Amino acid sequence: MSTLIKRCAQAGSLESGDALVQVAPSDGEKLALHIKSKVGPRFSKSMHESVHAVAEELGVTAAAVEIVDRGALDFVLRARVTTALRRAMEAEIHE
Amino acid sequence: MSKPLRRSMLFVPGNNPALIVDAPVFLPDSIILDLEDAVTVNQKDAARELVVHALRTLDFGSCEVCVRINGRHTPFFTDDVRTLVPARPHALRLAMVESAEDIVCLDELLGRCESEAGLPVGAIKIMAAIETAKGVVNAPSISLASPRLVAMSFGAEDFTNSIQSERTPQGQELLFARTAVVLAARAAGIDPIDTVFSLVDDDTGFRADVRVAKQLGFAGKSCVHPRQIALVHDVFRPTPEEVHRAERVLAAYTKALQQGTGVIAVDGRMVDGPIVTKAQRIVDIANSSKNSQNWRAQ
Amino acid sequence: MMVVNKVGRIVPSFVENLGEFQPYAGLFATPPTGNHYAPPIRRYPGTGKKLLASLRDAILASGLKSGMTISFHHHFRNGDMLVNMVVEEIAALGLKDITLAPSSLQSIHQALIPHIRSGVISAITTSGLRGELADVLTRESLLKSPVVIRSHGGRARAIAAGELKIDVAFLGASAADVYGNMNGIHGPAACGSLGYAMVDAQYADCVIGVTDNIVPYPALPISISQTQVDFVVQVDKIGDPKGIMTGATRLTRDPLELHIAAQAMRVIEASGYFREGLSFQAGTGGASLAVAKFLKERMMDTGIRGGFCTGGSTGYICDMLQEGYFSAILDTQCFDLAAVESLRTNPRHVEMSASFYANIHGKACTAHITDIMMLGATEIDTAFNVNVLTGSDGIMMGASGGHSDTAAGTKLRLVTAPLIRGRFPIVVDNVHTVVTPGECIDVLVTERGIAVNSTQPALQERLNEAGIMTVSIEELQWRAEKLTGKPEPLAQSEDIVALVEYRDGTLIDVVRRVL
Repeated sequence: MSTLIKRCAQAGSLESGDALVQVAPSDGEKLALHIKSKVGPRFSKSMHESVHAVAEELGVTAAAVEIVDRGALDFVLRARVTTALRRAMEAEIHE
Repeated sequence: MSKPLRRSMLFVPGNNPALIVDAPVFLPDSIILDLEDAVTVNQKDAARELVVHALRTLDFGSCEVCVRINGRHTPFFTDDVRTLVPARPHALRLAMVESAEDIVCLDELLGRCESEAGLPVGAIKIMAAIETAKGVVNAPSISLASPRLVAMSFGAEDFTNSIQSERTPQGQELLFARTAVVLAARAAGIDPIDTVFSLVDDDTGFRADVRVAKQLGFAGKSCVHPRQIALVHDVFRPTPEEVHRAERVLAAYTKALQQGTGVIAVDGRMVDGPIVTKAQRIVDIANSSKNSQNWRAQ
Repeated sequence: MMVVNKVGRIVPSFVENLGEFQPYAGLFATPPTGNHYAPPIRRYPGTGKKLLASLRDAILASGLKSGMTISFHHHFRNGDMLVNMVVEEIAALGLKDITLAPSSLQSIHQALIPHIRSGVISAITTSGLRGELADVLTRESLLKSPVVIRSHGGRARAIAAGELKIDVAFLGASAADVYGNMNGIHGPAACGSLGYAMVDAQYADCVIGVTDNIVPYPALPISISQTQVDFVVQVDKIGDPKGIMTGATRLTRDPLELHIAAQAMRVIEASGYFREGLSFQAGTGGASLAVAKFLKERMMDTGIRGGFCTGGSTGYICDMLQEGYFSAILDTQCFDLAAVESLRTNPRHVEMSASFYANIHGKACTAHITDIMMLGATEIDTAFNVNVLTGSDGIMMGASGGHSDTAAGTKLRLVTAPLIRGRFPIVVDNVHTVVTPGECIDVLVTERGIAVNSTQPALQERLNEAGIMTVSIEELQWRAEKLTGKPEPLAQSEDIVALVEYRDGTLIDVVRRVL
């Protein structure tokens, strides 16, 4: 199973402890991930791993993922990415 | 082990990560992650996902963790149950329960989902939220609708709507309904939980409301703000005199059992079955309060 | 040459342009030497007319030259206009290579960045740095020597000892007379106590009083006296009241902070220091300020009454003075207008200098005789070393303040902090910057548990007796990291951008440039 995201979707918020995840079609054939975060310098690796793990779990192989992080814990980030990707994938199906 | 206390049940909006993470800090007896009123229709999926991740990740310590799911007749009901079961909350609190059938329906769906998830059937408990005139009228049959049922809560806001009345500080409009819920729950051996008090800054009013709830026979109260938890525990906490007397009753009872004496008395009052049970309950609550490191009320 | 100090930090023993330093060796381990500094004697005009027409005239009259040191106080906080104004004027006069030595700096002082880049300011010593300015100074090596971070008591000591020699002090006052008497409690830019300016007034070679409010002689009350002031200048506006302070500091409503405060109060009560005549320093953070609320409640319940309150003051503490819960406030700094009003009207609320407050080598300082001190932390490590200067990203964002001064002398030193702040665990293996050594921290109170320093078995015993559950600090670290994950190491260069002096002038740590 491999899904290319073809629709835009978002999930989460800019509240403290949350993250806003925006998903869009990507130019290339892989996951293009961009994270803006105050904790970035100390949690960058963990955040990238989590996003890739969620994408893999959902079978998403190509998407542009933009994250504005407000200090979200790992489980929050994973939940938000899951919702955003699901929303983008469902938009596909309903077409 | 004595059954869990449900004096305070803290509502936490299911789509707010910071509040979910901090909820166990305040040591409520139960945490209710809310997917119903606290979550707008277009965020139900996000909240559900967040709650599932929270259940799988966070250590809620000694708190019982429940999820309030959307009513049986909403489009979210089935997805709520299906998604949540594998994450194994202690219980689901079903909103807007009006008949035994609502509970039976949830019970069956839970059973199927538990089997699919490889969980023992019956692992996840149910709490029924009675929030309408119809629900109150059917409380007795609802309370017996499933062996999963552990508590029945009363919700005043929707209830006053359903009887076309308004809430007042005195609360006469709620008296019958509150009592009906207490009677049905107590008769079925489950915990009656009182409605929320939404003026979070009014400590005096809240305290008075909790005292009434305790007097009416409620086992606890739903809370909308962490600061209410300590106040609830404070009202439900037995006084040192009560604890002292209860301990002496239990000591006399134990001694009587050991020595095989029949009738016993403490302070000139005969001690019989109900008094021993009551004494045990007081000591249990006192012990439980002792262990919780709550901030002083007020 | 680099040496390892008593808290295991590698610090230089010599720094270009600043000279030799001793490594931190323990709370009171390094003895003082030398004499107090004294400013030169000058002839003053017999009529005592000190009023000059402009800042420029004052700068010229002071004899300020390139390479000299100027100082300021930070009582106007983020409403301060004086530092930027003076540096602007100095730049316009073509002076270079100035050392800036204010008691602290705020985010408003980002206006200094161009003057740092152009070489007008080439060295800085301060208690703290915030905002853009702090960011730039942590990411780039712009100065000819590292920023020297001093505690409030440490600065007073360094000035008195002549280690920090101030050539010209520009001291803002919200009210002054033409003869140089000044205070901070009258006028549109009222800021209350002028405690941090008093040391500058005493030791600077030249003192310039700057005000936007000249009042008839004598300006009463006299916080800084005519005997110490060389010139007086009137400007249009000295500070923005909105940035100076709020009306009254509101007690926090954050349930997490209230929870921490309530736990801290339980610790105070169990410690044995909650007793008749107790002296207390409330912190300024949400949780530590809220402790005052619980303290008041317990005083109400028990009838126990306190002695003095010290440090900064808020309306809440002033109300407690007014209502008889405390008998005096010794005040270096007012945090709100309610506190200014109290200082103006209550004779038992008095100003004290930074030296009176916290100077280790003064003949007495209040910090050494206080019972209970509420401390904050941006990080605390498993040896209880505390960082209040740099954030978890390694960037300077806070101030040394009175943290290490009060921790060294107070009987009960409580750190209150949320265990997690924006995904960063507060308890770490090693704090990024040590400001206060762990040997003078007794207990950490967080919302997720309380940990007593293992060097304090007596306190541990008392908490046990009171039935207060405690855990090891390692357990707290584990609880935090279970939620946050372990942060990855910071990328930093070898370049030192700041030296952190302990209050006795030894080096306790350095801040390195963040990449």
